[in-house]
Amino acid sequence: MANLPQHRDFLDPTVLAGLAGLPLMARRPMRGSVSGKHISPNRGASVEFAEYRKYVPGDDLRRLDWRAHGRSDRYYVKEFEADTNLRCCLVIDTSGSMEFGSGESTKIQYARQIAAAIAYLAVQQGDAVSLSCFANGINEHLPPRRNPSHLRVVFDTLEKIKGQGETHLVDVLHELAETTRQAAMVIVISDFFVDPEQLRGCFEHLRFRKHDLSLFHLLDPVELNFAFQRPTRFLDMEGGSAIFAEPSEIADRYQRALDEYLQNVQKIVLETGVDYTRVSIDERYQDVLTKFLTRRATARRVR
Amino acid sequence: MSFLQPWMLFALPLAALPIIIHLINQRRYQTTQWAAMMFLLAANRMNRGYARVRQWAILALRTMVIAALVFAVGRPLSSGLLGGGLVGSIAGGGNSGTIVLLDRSPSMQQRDGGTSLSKLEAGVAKLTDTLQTMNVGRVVLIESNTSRPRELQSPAALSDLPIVGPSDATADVPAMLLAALDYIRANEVGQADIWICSDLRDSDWLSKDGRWTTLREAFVEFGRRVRFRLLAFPEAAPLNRSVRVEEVRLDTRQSDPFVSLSLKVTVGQPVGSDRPILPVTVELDGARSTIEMPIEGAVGELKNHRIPVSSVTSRGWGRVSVPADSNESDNDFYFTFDVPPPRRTVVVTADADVGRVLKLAAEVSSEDDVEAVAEVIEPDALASVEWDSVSLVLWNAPIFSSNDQAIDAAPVLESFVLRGGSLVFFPPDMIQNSYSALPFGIRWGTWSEPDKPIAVASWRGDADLLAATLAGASLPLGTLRVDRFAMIEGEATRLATLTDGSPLLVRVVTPQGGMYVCATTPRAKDSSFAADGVALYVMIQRAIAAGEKSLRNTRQLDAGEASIESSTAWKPIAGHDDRLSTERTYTAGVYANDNQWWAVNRSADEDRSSVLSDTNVAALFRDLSIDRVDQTVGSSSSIVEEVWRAFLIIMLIAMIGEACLCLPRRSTRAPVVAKGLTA
Repeated sequence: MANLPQHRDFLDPTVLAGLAGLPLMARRPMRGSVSGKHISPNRGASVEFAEYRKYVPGDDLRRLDWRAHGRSDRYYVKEFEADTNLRCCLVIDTSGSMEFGSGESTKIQYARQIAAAIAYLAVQQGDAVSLSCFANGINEHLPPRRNPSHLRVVFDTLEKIKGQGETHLVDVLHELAETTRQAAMVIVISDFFVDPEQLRGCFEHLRFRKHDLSLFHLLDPVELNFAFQRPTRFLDMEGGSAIFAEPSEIADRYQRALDEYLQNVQKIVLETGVDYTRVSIDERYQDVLTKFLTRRATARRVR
Repeated sequence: MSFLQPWMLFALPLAALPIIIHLINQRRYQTTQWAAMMFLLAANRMNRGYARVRQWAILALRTMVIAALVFAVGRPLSSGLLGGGLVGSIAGGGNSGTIVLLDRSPSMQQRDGGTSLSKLEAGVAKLTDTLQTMNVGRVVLIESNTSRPRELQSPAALSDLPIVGPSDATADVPAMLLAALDYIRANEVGQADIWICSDLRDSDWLSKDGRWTTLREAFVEFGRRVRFRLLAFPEAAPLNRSVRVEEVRLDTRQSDPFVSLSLKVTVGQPVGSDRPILPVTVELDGARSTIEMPIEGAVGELKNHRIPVSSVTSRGWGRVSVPADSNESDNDFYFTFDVPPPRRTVVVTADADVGRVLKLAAEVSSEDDVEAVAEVIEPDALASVEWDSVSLVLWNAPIFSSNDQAIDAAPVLESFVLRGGSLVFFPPDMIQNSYSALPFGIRWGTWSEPDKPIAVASWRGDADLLAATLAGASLPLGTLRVDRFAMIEGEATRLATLTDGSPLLVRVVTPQGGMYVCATTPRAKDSSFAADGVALYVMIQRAIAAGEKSLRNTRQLDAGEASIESSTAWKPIAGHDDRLSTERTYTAGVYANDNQWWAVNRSADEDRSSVLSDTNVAALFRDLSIDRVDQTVGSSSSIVEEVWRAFLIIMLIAMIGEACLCLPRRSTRAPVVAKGLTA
């Protein structure tokens, strides 16, 4: 009785059950701590042959390939691919702008749903999950754990977070690139309201650290359409100055600025090899995740 | 710009509605929390100038739509001629009067521009059209023949009236303006619009006339209550020809009697050196002949052209015509001729010396074919004079006889002058106060005897008895010495003035004939008139010639010279059949009355085509409110017309422009904001 599942509004068991059949796959080799479903850069003890290597003193004599020695009179060691688990680092933007939502949901709520589902899937397949929530800086950080009880902590943290403060996304991503051990899966969920050129540096930094970076770019439909009729005073949710605007006059230029920004983001993610998913938060998050997981499961892996 | 319904302009503030709505809309803003501020900031930075211009352009166009609608409803008129601007058109609607001054002079009958309308007809049509467009009610017409105001019920009556037709009389614009001024004063017109339709000929406008100063001062007093609209047709036809008979004389002394004609043809501009020949048709008592007249420069002259006539002819009439051109009014010239009567002079004096000198000067005729007779009589013998055959009376005696039984000659002399005779007074030796009165309000003053003889200071050399000769030489009055002279009292025109400022010769203003008063006598003790006889001889011969005209059976008159009353009795012999009988004095032609024939023609001034310059017109109307519109005969455009359609078009254009600016801008590329985009 004491362990009754706690109801969380960002968790839908039916959605999780629907997504359970889809693996969360990395696009590049991961350095895990235990055996898992993901490719490792190291050789290991799987059944999949990798390569022959010349014997050097110190190698385990049990791994000598005697048949090769019989054919060539040389000593070779037979090596196999290693399968490992991964560290899935969930990075959630909790700045003030994430509290925006024109419909039933806000961006931060949408981020909670995506993060919770991915965390659940990752733990289910034995991967470790960490959580970093940031605004001005990293506000919350949970180190990677792969035990199911860690999920509760992750969910609790997700439930707690609130959108407030300015976004210092660029600094935070640089910091995470440095502090996270190499070759992890980094999933950033944000509205990315920063200069795209500044994001390029972050993405290249994470790639340099051999992280598999995925982005969920959350946008509200109103932000995309700018469907205002009356003159409006826009108050900055991150504490900046307010702007008074006549929507009918400014809409076209707003749209042009938005288009330009999105094109730049698109260009940068293509150039930096980032797995980018633009999401309008009126979409069902399970559909978004299904596409995300399917795309990754079917993608050609790189070793 | 003026408006037919200017009160509609009070609705003009409605044009501010879009701006007011815009401001109200601005105050009805909503406040919302917003995340994507970076795009708003970028949008604000982007194309800021254009966006602001677009916003103001939309507001301006909306304002223009309403303003154009209000203007259109106000029924705007196309020309600024109506003047006074907005304030004038609003304020001028009340007790306003429209006065039309119409120049009907012959030069206004010029046609060109390929139309069948003359300047006069075009002017009347445009005036009618304009006044009707302006919804003007009553119109006061002052036409140039009579210069009398005539009230018309509507502008439409202008074009129907026969008195706006062509005339051969020269206009007197200052007189017309005086008539307008009198009308305004008499009727206390609050706001007067004086329309002047004229071709700006100097002969009609008399720009150097002294009345202009008075007129200008009088109109200036009205301020902006009187506005002048000058509808001018200043364009003169360069190829216009006019013909004039300078002199006509019937000579029956020889066995083959003939009529001698001196003609002058003027063309508008000098012709080349090839001396073109102009056929001139002469019609004499119904018989036509053609003379080929060479033109040199801009003038062709023919002197003493003889045309044989029947030996029984004692008088007749004729017409000289040049081929048709743009102005038909100066293509014909009528003349009459008869046998000149003997020139009879009566010298009334008791002084034998004076009688002898004056008789001598009068008896010697200046023309070969004319007989001159003079007789000297005592004042008492006045009753024996046959006045009907006398051309000149030279009077050197008191008006009243010195006998106890006074005989007053003044009425006889007055009627003689009014008949057309010439009368010259010389001072009697003794001037008594009670007998010093002369006809027409002139009186003799006292005799003045200076210490030494005095000379003539100045004299009128341009006209009348002391005019220069045809060759241009002045009369030798400078050598004249006056030892004694009588003062002349009364209103008269001075023809010669002595060095001490006293008049030597004056002309008294009379309706007909000529009455002159000379301040001295030809006696040797009084002046050197007799010794220097040329001046006296010329004076007397000119006075005889002038008086002789009244005795002729035929006369040459300038149009308008005779009174309307006398001309209504005339019977037309030749001329225009389509003119009113009351306007015969203003219509060129030959007329008969009792035993006399009259040839009426345009005045000589009409053959001069000088037009007032813009500067002259501006000077004449200095300090007055005047709007001038120059028109050409061929121009079919109205002076003013309603232009509300243009304002509706402006409104439509503004609406379309506003709609275009308000349309959302079409994106030139596919939207990149597709949902769920992945990379």
